[in-house]
Amino acid sequence: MSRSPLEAVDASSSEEYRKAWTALMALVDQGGSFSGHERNCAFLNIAGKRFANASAAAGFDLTDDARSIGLVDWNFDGKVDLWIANRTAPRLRLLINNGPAKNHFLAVHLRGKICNRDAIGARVELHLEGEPPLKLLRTLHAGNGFLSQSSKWLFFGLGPRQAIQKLVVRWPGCRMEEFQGLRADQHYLITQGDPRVEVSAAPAAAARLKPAELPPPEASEPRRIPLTLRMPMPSLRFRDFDGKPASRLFPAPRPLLVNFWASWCGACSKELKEFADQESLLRAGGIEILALSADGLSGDRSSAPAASQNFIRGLKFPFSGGFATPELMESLEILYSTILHDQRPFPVPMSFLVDSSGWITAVYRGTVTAEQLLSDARLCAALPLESAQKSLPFPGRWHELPLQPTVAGGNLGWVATAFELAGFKDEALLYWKGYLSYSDKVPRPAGAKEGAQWDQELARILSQETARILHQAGRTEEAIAALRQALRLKPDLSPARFNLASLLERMNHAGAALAEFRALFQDPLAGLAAMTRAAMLLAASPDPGIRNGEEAVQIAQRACQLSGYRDPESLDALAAAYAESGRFDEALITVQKALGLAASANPAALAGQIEERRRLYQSRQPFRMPAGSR
Amino acid sequence: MPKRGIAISLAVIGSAALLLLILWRFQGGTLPGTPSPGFEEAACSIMDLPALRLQPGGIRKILSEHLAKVDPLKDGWNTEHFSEAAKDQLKKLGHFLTRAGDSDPQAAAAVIAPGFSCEPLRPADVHEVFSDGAFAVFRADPRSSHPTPQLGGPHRGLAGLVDTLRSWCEGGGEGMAKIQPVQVDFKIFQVHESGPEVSTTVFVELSGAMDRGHFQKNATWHCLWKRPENDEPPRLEWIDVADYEEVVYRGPGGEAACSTLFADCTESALAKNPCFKEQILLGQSYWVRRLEAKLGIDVTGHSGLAVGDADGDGLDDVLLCQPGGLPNRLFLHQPDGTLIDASAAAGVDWLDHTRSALFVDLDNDGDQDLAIAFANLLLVMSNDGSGHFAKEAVLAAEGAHSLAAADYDQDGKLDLYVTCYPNLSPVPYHDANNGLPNLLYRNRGNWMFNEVTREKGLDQNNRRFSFAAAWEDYDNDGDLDLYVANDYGRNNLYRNDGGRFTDVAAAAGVEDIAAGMGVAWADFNHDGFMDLHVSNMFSTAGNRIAYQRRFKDSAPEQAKSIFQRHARGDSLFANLGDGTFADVSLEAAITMGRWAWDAKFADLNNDSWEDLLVANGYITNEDPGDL
Repeated sequence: MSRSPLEAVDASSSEEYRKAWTALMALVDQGGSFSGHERNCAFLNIAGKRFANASAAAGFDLTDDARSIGLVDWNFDGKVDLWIANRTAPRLRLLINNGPAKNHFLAVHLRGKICNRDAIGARVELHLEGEPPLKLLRTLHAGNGFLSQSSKWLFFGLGPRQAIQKLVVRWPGCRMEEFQGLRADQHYLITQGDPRVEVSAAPAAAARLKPAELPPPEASEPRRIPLTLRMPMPSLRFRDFDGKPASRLFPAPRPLLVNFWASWCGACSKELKEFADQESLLRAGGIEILALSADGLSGDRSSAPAASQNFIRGLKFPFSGGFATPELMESLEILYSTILHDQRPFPVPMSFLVDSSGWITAVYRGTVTAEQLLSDARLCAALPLESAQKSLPFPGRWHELPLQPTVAGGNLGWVATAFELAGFKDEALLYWKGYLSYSDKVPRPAGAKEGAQWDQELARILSQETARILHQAGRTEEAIAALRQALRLKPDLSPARFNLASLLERMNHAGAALAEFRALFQDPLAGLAAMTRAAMLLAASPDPGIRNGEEAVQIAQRACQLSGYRDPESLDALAAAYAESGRFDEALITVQKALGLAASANPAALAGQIEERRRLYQSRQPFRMPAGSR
Repeated sequence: MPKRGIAISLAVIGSAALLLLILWRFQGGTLPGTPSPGFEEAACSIMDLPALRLQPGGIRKILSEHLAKVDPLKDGWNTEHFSEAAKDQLKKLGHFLTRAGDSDPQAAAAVIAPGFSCEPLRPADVHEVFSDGAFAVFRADPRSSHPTPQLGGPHRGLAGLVDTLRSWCEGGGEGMAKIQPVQVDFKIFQVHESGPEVSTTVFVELSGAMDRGHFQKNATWHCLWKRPENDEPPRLEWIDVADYEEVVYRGPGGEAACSTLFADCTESALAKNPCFKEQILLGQSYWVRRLEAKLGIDVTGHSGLAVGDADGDGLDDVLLCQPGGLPNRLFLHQPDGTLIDASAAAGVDWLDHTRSALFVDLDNDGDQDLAIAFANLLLVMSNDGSGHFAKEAVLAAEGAHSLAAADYDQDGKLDLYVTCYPNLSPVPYHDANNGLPNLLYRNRGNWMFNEVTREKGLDQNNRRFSFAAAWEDYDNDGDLDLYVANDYGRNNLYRNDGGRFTDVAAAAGVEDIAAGMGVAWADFNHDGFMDLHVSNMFSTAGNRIAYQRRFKDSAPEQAKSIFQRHARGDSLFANLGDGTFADVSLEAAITMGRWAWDAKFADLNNDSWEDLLVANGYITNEDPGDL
């Protein structure tokens, strides 16, 4: 591999770099520019020495975020014209070269017969007469620069010279050929093995394009953002106009528009008035509205909550309303800025159209008309694939539709992680649940291998994401259910089974825990730990119906053999098993061994616990585990 | 690409997690001898997903500390802050110049310190160095580098400044007298602090229209500033002109009168297509706020174009690649020079996230087939001869960016090389080798392609962040060699020896350790050997994150110089003809290509010397400032 002289210096810097980069990109998502407004450069080659900066004089100094340049003689006048692909508008630019025709040119188009038909890689030498004679080189490329390909015409500027001695073509992998009788200021077609050169005439109606300065792109705000992949609405908790907590649950009988407004916002009041006026139409179209006031959220005193109340009452607003909570706004902001490259603050009004199962179908920044809502209600009813196609701005074809479960689900998982990192555990769970249920909405991946991978992915989410978050939230029974579900999909997911057994043990389901541990005895990775934990349960369970000293000794001995009597925990279990069987002398010898090993083991607390047990065995008492913490 | 990669990465993490047996930590104990990272680490392992880099959404809180670092003031980074303030001051001079007739000298007074003096802004020894009837170039002899400031130049105080500004503006080569500049740009690219004074090196470009033409005056100034007190703006004590150049263009006049060499004919060529207004006239910043990231669209806008004759009518057409969620557009060239959108009918209106494409005849049947680089694979399509395309092959290419075709083994069939750029953090930054392999696909005929990267020796040095590549016979031995431009580190020159490759970049002197973005070849000096241009990054923001902050105090000199080289800008390597190259970037004065992407050699004025075009600019949003 490559040399890396400064690896040591740089080891920690990569993380720093990543964070700095993320921070810069966050600023970009908030509307900042990053090495933007730069002018493209044109450098004039002055006799092969120092170049002159002629960017402005050439008219090439556009402030586009330009990416790729395609060279072409668009109008067959022998002067190089340019197609440019930009990041900014216009995405595509045509620059026509209007230079005076004082210098001469030659253009050639090659056709391979023995070599590749396009003659890509051909080296062309143009020999010009004069004092001194001049040789110009070109190679025919297919793809160079950055993400770009130029015309296959090769252009030679001849300067004031007109006399062409010859053109030499080194066809790739083939014999060199010389062509003669070429005249300046022509376009020639040249075919491998054919000494005749063919003049290519310009098309009859030669290009007569008019120069015009393009207007600067309009800075337009997104208004309506239909989601190609619907997203679950975060927990819809708000306060009613009396200040009491309220919430909406899904599924609901019909789609819901969650609208955010403020009493000081003129556009908001107009919009709410339209909703009120169009009530019957909207209801007939199956739309329900929840208008939540953002008054008071910004800490701005001018937006008094009382004003909201008065406004809604004055309007006799026929739909429901209330006050938005900061948590609701923040959860929506997290969602929004995770699925779109847009981290700018929400405007008011702002609305979210939620389908009857609780999935957001469209977002509106600014006002939305009743007419649009009625049309989008139909989108709510469409199946995901159909509504995804309808949500795109243009028709087109996909090679890989990003709505396959793995991709689309990954997007939900992405948002789930964003929620979890921001401390929104319920939303994280909701999104993982959405990921899992997404597999019901779109076809399962075709093919046995893909199907199995998908099952594995679902099992991973259930065990590592859903169950983990539930466990952290103290929702152990639900965590157990998630793990069981994961194991139904992927029975050999031994970490999940081990975690399941541990949770069952904690919930005082010793029998069930034991059964799960037993199922892992043969597992190459989890077997040792499962045997150790099972032996300990059999030796020391508070439930006398579970305890079985003899079997505990057998299992613990297997565990110790497996670990070569070097694992303090299995030795500890063996000692407990001996004690339970009344073999206290063996218990003491074994526990001593365990203590010796535990001194250097992790966790440090282990040694202390074993020491306590040693004292019990000294006084010829078996160890009893405390009852699990429910 | 970021979103595109998520599901894949999640799946990878999923299986990796199973293999590693990530278990939870319970009070009852853990599996002995197995890693048990616990909940927090498990969450972190998800956080390490590279895509999060571009997806800060919900992690905003976590980032706030790093966001603070981006603000030069909060950063405590004085030179950066100073440079902003100095630029504001220089802009006042620019303002003064662009309204020369009615400008108030007091505007200039706010910029200078008492005791200000300067050298003539248009040096006395300006002389013509080139003229071909269209372009003329005038220069002063460059001054020795980094002169010692000598206060007491010939132009003193406000009157002296106004005097020399006016005579700089009005004076000039051939017919430039009494010209009104319309545009003045300053770029401060070096800041040195010493005691109570700060010196800056500033690139100045002043330009405007004139009768039947356009002019520009390029200068490099050394400015000495009095260090500001409190929040006062810095004030100029002295200006010296280190380098000076004037370029004049005179057009043919007449009907198509145009003051610059190039005229923008985009609208006239494309406006009749509905997608012109609906798609072409809307930039990436518009679309990223409307299209979900998971469709493949990202803020960087790395989508290029291909020029080729798609429909076989003898006229070059244009295929524009577009980000995920927007269809690629194939525009067919009409005899009158305008274009018609034929994307759907041609079968190439892909909505997948597209980086680049090539028109190449892959089956030697005389028409132009298509190779298209999506963000995660190559799609190969055949042409039926009339511009209708059909899927033929799908080739793996995770992170695909640029394509370059060549018949490397000279079997008469065009092969495909694709560069791949991962969505990862580079490690180590200045010489990253944790990227994705670029791939060589050998064309076996019948639309079958074999991946032969390793077999042919192209796996050397092949875990980079590769933006672009170009084939060229640099040693004139009759076969095609390959140069690859890599971001965050050294580039590759693979010499072709009978169809097997060896990376000789170091020995040839073209490693060019920098942020490589584009490759161009041409015999720019007429010596019979192909020379090499590499686009790189020149960016103050790039510098900021790249090195200055981190390396200010503690880094060894070697690291510093490598990082500084990283930010030098574009490179030009003259082929010496003996298998090695000389770095002539500085003497050729082409380094300041800014944040460069594509660069192309093209003889703009047909004078036989190939000129250089550089496409640049990273991300322009509505915010007029810059990070």
